[in-house]
Amino acid sequence: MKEVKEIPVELFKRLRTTCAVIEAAINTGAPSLAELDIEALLRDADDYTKKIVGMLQPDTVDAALRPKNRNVTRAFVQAYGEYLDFVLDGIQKGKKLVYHYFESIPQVLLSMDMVPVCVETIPVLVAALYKDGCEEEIDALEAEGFPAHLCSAQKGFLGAYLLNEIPAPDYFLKPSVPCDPSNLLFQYLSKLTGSPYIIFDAPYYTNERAFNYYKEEIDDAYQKLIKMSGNRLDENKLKEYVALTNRQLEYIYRIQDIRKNRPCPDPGFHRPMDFALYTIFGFSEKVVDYFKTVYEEAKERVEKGVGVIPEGKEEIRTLWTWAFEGYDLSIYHWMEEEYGATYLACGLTILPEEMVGLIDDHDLDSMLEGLARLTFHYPMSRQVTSFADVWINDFTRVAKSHKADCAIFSGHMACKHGWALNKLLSDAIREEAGVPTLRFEMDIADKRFTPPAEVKKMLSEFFETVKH
Amino acid sequence: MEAVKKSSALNELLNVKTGLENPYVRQWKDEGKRIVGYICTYAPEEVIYAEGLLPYRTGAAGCTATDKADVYLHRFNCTYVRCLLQMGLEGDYNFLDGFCFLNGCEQLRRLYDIWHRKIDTKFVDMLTIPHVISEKRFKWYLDDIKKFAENLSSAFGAGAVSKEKLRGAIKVYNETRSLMQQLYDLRKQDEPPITGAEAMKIAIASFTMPKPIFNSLLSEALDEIKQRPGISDYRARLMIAGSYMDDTFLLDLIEETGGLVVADNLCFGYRHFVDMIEEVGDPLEAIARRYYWKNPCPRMQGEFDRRLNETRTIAKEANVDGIIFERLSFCDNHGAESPMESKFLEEEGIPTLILEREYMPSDRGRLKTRIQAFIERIERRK
Amino acid sequence: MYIGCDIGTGYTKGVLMDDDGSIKASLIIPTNANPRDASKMIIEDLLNEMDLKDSDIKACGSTGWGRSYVSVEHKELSLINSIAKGVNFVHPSCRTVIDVGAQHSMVILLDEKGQVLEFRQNDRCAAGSGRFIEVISEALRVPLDEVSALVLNANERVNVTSQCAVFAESEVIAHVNDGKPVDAILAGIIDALGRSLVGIAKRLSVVDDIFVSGGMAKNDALIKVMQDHLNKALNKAEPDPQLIAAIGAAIFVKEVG
Repeated sequence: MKEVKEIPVELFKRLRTTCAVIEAAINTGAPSLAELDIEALLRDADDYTKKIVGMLQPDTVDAALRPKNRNVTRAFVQAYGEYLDFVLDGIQKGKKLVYHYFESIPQVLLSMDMVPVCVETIPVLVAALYKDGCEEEIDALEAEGFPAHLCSAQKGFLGAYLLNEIPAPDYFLKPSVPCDPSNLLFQYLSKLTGSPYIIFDAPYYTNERAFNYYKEEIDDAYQKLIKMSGNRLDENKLKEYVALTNRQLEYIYRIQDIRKNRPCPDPGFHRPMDFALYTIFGFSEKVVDYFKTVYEEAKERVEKGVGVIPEGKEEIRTLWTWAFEGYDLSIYHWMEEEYGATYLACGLTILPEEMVGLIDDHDLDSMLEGLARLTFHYPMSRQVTSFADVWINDFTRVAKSHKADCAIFSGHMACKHGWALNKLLSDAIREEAGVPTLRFEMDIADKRFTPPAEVKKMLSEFFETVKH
Repeated sequence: MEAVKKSSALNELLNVKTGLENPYVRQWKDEGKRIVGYICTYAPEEVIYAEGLLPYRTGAAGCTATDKADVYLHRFNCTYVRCLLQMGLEGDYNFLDGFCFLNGCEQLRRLYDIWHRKIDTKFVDMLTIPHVISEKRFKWYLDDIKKFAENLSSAFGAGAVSKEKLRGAIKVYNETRSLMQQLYDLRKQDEPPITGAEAMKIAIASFTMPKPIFNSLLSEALDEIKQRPGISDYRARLMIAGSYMDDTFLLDLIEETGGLVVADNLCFGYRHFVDMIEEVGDPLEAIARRYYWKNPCPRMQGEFDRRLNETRTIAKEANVDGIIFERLSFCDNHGAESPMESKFLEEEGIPTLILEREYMPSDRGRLKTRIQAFIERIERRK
Repeated sequence: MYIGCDIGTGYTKGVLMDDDGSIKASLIIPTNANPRDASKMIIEDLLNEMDLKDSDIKACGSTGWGRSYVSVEHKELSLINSIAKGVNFVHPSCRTVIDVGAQHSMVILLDEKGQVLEFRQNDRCAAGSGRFIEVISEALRVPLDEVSALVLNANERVNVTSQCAVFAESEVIAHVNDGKPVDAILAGIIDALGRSLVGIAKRLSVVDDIFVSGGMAKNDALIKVMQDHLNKALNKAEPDPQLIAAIGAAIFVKEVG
């Protein structure tokens, strides 16, 4: 077994430290960055922590400290921090490390005593938290001859491996969807590291034939993993993780529902954190706490009749029909404060209750079926995997149910299939819900493509034209 | 149509027109027969053919603008798909009675969603194929093909297609493959009697006309080709691989710069014609099997080593001096495949060049400069 | 009197508007990468032209890329709203405006009150705006204001297919070296720009009456190309299409008080 210092874990360590710092900052009670006594905060901190603090994006920290965002952010860093401890600890102990795509549910991997890490979450978090994002990593991968138009959520991760910031895993696990770029980059990393790449094939339709095929694929993938690793699947442990998952799902469904209220009672700053925690569904009690906090705060606001926008501002209810930009999260706070623009839902967090429901935990088969259903209808994967109708129908439905005033298609440049349906989507939203769509190009984990200032400018221009 | 003067079969193949300008396509239509287009090399042509329909691979060569297509698509979509949609919207594909789409790649699969909403092609269907190749997943593809065959039958009122007709189609198409293999074998010679551009033109011809006619023409043409003097005044033997390509612009550019393209691994070339159908057992299954298991497109996951090997084999057999990987802007599959293959091939001492291009012929100067530099590089090594 | 200024990346435009909405003076000067100085100069020059003092100005409205760099006290309005307001004021029958500036182009659908219903901008690339024409005509050594006449009288047109302004420039140079006539090349790039603009318009399903504003609207050849491809009548915004946004900004402060 390799000694710890030989295994590159810089990126995990950095994120772990960051979670701790943000938690400490929030605990000081300072309601904004300007009011935070950074000196006092860092008085007993080591050099590494001080260095990390210097790297943080000030706007993001500022938004995190704001009263309406702080509690949920604290719950997030506590949950994610604990998870990163688990990852670092697991790597040290030589547990099997599995890099997976965000719709590959980790519950089974956890009950096989493995360490699951979602490849996509890392670059997006890095882009969101640090001034330089994962630009160096992206450039490192592109230097190998890969075109820039591939997805930064994978480019960042592969680059991190090339720069020795993350270790090689024992296995890669991915469905064959949602897109070619993600498939190809996983394939490349598998080739570089020599670690096996286990693929489960996703079908093109969303009917029962398709689901049954998919479920079999997922079962086969896990069987393969069990055989290759020699680890066994602990059914009792799986039951625990499934129970946690169900409690999270309950909150998630209620949270999605509560945003139908006027004004919207749930800050948009939370959405990227939702996305990150979906990828560790079922991991821990703290993950449940996060969703509980989101829900209860929103519920309290509804009871008090308040929203998340300043008093007296007219609300502009926005529906993000694709992804969010992941490199300046403070924008979701800024748009509420500046324009009263609230965030109803988005393609990276939408999870239809009527499709997924809760997971039946009475035996292994029912649990695997429930998890397969969750994977099948996972945010983005469900909308993207097959015909455009799914995406279009899902979002016109939400536009109506949540009474959106406008839609925002924040188009990630690697999603060719997404851009290929952008007009069909915005036409449908205009026809069914009567609202306009702002379309803009961006790169989800690379601010250089469309810098935050430009995003703000486009949003401003758009909000100024929206009639409520 | 009648040939008053018997002209050379080779000449005819080298000057084929597409669409209704092609006399065979025109004749087919005039006889009241129907045409079904398809966009990807994973479409089982034999099934279409066995139903008495003409399978027509939808190229987009000659398209010079994408303004109508760009209303729906975006600059992040590859120009081939944008050109194809443009042609559809402008009515250039009105002669199709049906269109078989596939989930071949991200760009192509979305074309279905736009086409069936905005263009009035009578029969439109989507055929799906797994992203992974294994015996277990083969059933999905086979089931989809069966469904597709049924849909074709219903749409065109021909009744379920008989095994006999399928076997007949297999024979015809295997003949095409065998003839094309012969053509490709001729290119392996030290002094090939045919250029890469000419080979591509012959391939293009095959996609537009009924196969029996094509087979007969190619058969004759092969005799003509064998009589030709070999080409000896080239500076380097090249293989080309990469994104969808159905015109000779790039090949012409390479060959006027002194290169000779003696092999390829294009889906409009070698990769389409390689691998015969086994004429045993259930014909529909045999057809599906061949398409599923053949030399794979990079969209197939877990097949990189096999593809790399295919590239090596093709390159070795044709004794190439270097490999050019061309990739369309925004092509995901070849965008990633090219640097990956290039990396390993270079490590093995095989020179490679990656060229980014648009589908429409453009950028002569830039491309030529790079090709020239590459030829000079590999020339020196010989 | 009210001042409206539109500070663009290429040019700064200013209008002096009376209480009754009539435009008493107007000016267009290059921004020269210094929006603060440009706005100062334009306001001074407008006042001088009408022999007015600072105190005669009730309010100043600003818009455009450099709208916050105005030296005097002012209110800001987004460019889209300014264009909509401006064109609605001058041409109340307008329901669609195609604005082509130096670095942007956009198509706006508006209602009878000048309220923006929907809009669409060009993708982030200079090939979709005036700068593209500027760069190419510079490379061809043709003054910008001569381009239209040359194109209208051209006998042929060279196809410019590059999707990128930088590559298009190399393509043009290749054409020049191949001996293609300058007017044919210019016809090619005007056609490319026109088609690109029409593409944006088609994404929005335009409604009559359609007006064209912005600096490039002065290019009759471009308007002709757009009309041909869109198959609808296009009208050039008056009095000077380049002033529309500045007029909108002036109207805005006049309304707001």
